[in-house]
Amino acid sequence: MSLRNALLTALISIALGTGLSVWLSNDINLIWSGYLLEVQSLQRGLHQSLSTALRAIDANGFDASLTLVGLSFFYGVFHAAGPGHGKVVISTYLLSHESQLRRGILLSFASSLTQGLTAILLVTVAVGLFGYSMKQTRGLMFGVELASFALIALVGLFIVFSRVLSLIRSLRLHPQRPLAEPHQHGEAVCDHTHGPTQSDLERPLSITQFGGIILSIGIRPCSGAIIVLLLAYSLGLYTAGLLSVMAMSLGTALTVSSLAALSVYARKIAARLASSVQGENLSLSWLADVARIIGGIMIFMFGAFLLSAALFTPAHPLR
Amino acid sequence: MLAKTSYLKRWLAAAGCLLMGSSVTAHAHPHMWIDLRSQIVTQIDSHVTAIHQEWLFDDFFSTALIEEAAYNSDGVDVGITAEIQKIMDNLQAYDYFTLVTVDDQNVRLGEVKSFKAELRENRIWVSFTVPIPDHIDVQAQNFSYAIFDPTYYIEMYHFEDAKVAFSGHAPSGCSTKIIQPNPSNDAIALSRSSSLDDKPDTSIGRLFAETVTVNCQ
Repeated sequence: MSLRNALLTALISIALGTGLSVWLSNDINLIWSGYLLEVQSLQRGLHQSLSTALRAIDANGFDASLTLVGLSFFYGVFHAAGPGHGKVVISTYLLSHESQLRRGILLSFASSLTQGLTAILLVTVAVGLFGYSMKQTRGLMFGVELASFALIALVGLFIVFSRVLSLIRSLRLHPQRPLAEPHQHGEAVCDHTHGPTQSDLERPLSITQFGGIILSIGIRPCSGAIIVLLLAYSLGLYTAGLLSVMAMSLGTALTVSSLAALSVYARKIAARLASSVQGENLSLSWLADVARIIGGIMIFMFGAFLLSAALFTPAHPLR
Repeated sequence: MLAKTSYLKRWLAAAGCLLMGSSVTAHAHPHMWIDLRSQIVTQIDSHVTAIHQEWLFDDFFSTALIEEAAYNSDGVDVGITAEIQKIMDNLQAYDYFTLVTVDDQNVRLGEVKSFKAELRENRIWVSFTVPIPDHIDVQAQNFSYAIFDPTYYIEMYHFEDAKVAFSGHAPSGCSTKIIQPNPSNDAIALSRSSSLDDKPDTSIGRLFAETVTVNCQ
């Protein structure tokens, strides 16, 4: 099978897969929205409990904060179980880039914890340093949100450009690509065969990409963390507020990690299927680059869409 | 070669559609909660003239609003009324998040002339009446309404124990019902309908909204 045929086969199967999932999406929709409603109603209850817990600390002292921390953790878990832009970016990245589970989890934890830290930093500076009111601080969120969406689009662009560059470079290096020897990769987790040079090429770039992804997600603090922190600060419960946000971030990290794990394994299975169907692995590094470029385009479009939606939606009447 | 690029294009287009769809829902989760009570205001001839509403804002939003109100030189209570006045003015363009339909047609709503606002256990409570200029005969026509934020920034549901009553002269043989949102069915209907744009009520908020209906024998 020639390289072109292999590429063609892969693209056809991707197209078929997408077609099938669009065709099935009515059923997926049904399950998805039912699930969404459950998560939403759970969150509604948790929100009320969070404010009650904060009021309880205000009334009964710091001992009551254990309830708050527990609730915050669950809030984080369930908030992340709903739809969110961070998860879309992370899973798109992991699906289109070869990664180990360890990296996926690291990415999830780092971005979730950054989100928590941003919330703390933002509210502390705005309220503590500049004396912003709660309403003004929530207004500040809008600007931060825009920056986050712009960063997501930039990360997508960066991935596309660096992949196109590496594709060109590898074409120049190997105008007629020789058959690569199947080989065992160093780590035990990654025991499948793949093109040799690409992973080496990727290493320095992916650190920048990782940083970009963590920053673009983490710069936009979770709205739940902001409102709990604002209420805590207005009641003078600084420590309780900080503990609550950290517990929330941990809960979020846990859920996002499981999604990341799912993405990593889905990718591994897809890669294994592809190599067994083709029987040859020379095209895999090519395909990997194409997949990364597509992933980068998707991340870019996602960021651009969120940015334009945020910019062109009229201000909410209650904001 | 040609075939390859066209597959790629098609795949990208499909992926793009999926992505746009997912990003709409990705962004849509509520940041504010309002608990509702509502009443159908009817005249003696069983004509509906208005929807009376009570909104109870969540603790977080209320605390922020009270903080803002405290800056008012005439005191917090006057401040709260001033803040709510601003909100009501803004809400007029959105028909106060109220969608009234008669035989599946959207009905024109009037302006809220006055409101009551007070603090109830850390939460702001507001009550007002949204007039319906063209009165609706509930005995003859298929009348229903929904109270929701189309952008789903706010989640608005009736209290769990809430029952919608008639205020004024209850039409005989009529009963009300709050129908829980069923986004799965609605979402499918929405995704299958060819004209997404010409109906203003087919928003993300509508999918998660309760619907109040009236049944008359």
